[in-house]
Amino acid sequence: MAILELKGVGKNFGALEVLSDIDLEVEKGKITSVIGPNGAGKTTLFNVISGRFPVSSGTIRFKERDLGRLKEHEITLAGLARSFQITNIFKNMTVWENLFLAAQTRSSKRISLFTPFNHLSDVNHRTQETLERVGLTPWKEAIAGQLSHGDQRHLEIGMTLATGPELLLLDEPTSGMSPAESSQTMDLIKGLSQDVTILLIEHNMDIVMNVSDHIIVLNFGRKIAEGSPEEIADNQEVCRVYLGGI
Amino acid sequence: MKRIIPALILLALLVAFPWGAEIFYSGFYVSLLTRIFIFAIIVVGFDLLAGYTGMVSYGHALFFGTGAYLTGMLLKNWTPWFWPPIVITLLASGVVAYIIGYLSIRTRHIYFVFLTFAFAQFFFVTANSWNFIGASNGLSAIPKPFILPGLNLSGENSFYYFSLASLFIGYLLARRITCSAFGKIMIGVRENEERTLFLGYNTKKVILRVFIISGIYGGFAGALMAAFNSFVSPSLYHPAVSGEIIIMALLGGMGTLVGPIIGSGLVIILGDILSSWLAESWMMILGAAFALVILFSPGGMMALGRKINNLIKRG
Repeated sequence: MAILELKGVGKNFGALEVLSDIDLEVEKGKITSVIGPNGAGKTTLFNVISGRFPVSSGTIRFKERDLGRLKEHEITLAGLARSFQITNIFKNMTVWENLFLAAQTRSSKRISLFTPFNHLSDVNHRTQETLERVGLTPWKEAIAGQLSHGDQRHLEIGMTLATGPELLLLDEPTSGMSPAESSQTMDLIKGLSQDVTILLIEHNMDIVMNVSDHIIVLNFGRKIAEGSPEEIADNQEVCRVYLGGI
Repeated sequence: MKRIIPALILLALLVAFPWGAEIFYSGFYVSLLTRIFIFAIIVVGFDLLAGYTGMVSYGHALFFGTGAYLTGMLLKNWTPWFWPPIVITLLASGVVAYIIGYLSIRTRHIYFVFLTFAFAQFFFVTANSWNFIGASNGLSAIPKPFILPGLNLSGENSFYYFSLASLFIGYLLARRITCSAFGKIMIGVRENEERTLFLGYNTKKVILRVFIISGIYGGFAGALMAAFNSFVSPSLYHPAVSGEIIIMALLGGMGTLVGPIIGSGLVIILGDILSSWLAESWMMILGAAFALVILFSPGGMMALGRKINNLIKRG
């Protein structure tokens, strides 16, 4: 069953057509990866799905709901959370505060002006759970901006996770990571896929081939192929425009 | 506990301060402190907006003036009691802040600064030319209001205590907000609005709410100023007042709530002492002090205090 469905999605910036007639489906409980050369429109695709940019044409449906009319925060509350290509966290807050603020989105209590933040026991619980899940418990009280790059990326994944999503959009989660950190991230993504559907943009082909159930290939804003990792690896056009010698 | 004891001592000193007037010092200083308390209320409200959500308004004089004119008009023409005009002023300030905020928060950075400035200028020009509220002459002979049967604010001391209590309650409310779950969202907006938005928070709504609260603080301070001076003039809307509010917050330390209170005290006391020696030139000294603080302690007096404290601890 498709949790996310795009039909004929296009995005123009003036005369520049960044996405053109994209049709895609993301199956619930699966990891779907989007690959393609730089400038293929992968991040723009995430931006239109997450509401950062309005679509120029086509429709985006998430759990049968049209996302076209929703604002960014409403899309998150609908159960679709995203991470960014460039680490996007609260650098001056502690790791705990970063995750707490994310988890607070799903507080069972109404947040009024005077609700003491430490009285939200369900939020505390969710924060602790996420902290453990992304392996940042030892750095709970550390200032987020002082963490290593890899840990900052994991924190961002944790923040998206703490919002309680059903679909997670991860934009190059391993960019700038050492091989060891990338491997840890791959394990983390595999683990997360037990509970949430993942749409992943990634340049590290080892990770893409290892974790993906389905791969979509973009080039110059158009979908040029999709299929299982094996099918994509054997696709001549994909090899020509992106994979090269793999 | 470490912080509560000095705060209680300071509060006790402030409560005792009027008793020493006319014995150890002139009663003028009671009135000077009252002015500081009134300004501190609007600056604490400004700090909620600028210090905690990062939206620096250059038009907060708008709320100060509106609160002052409305309360002044009501006291003069309707009732000798303070409470009905105060309630109406708080509500009206909230409505004005909602309208100005709704229009302004669509912009950010310098555009927000100048949009709020433009709105305040509109009020300034209107107050200067509208005969119904006295035009450039303003409103005079505003009676001192009653707060309880038989207790009006005509005495210097009664106004002092009323303003001190108002500031104390205003500060506690602001502290409660900033330490709440909502306060964490405010800080999130200041630190990284995009991330806060993509976590599922309607950041515009958050900023608008804080803008309204901040406007209500401004309106309340204006109401007190009208009753304190028994006079309201268009100068309350002047951009210099908005500028002073920013300077007070920055000098004390934005995003701390205590800093803006210290900043209000510093600017008003410095202004008083220096203007008696240097007339209008005192602004030069204030400007130099402001530049030094921005250059060497951008976090204001609060950050400077922390630095000194750390140096002492290190020996």
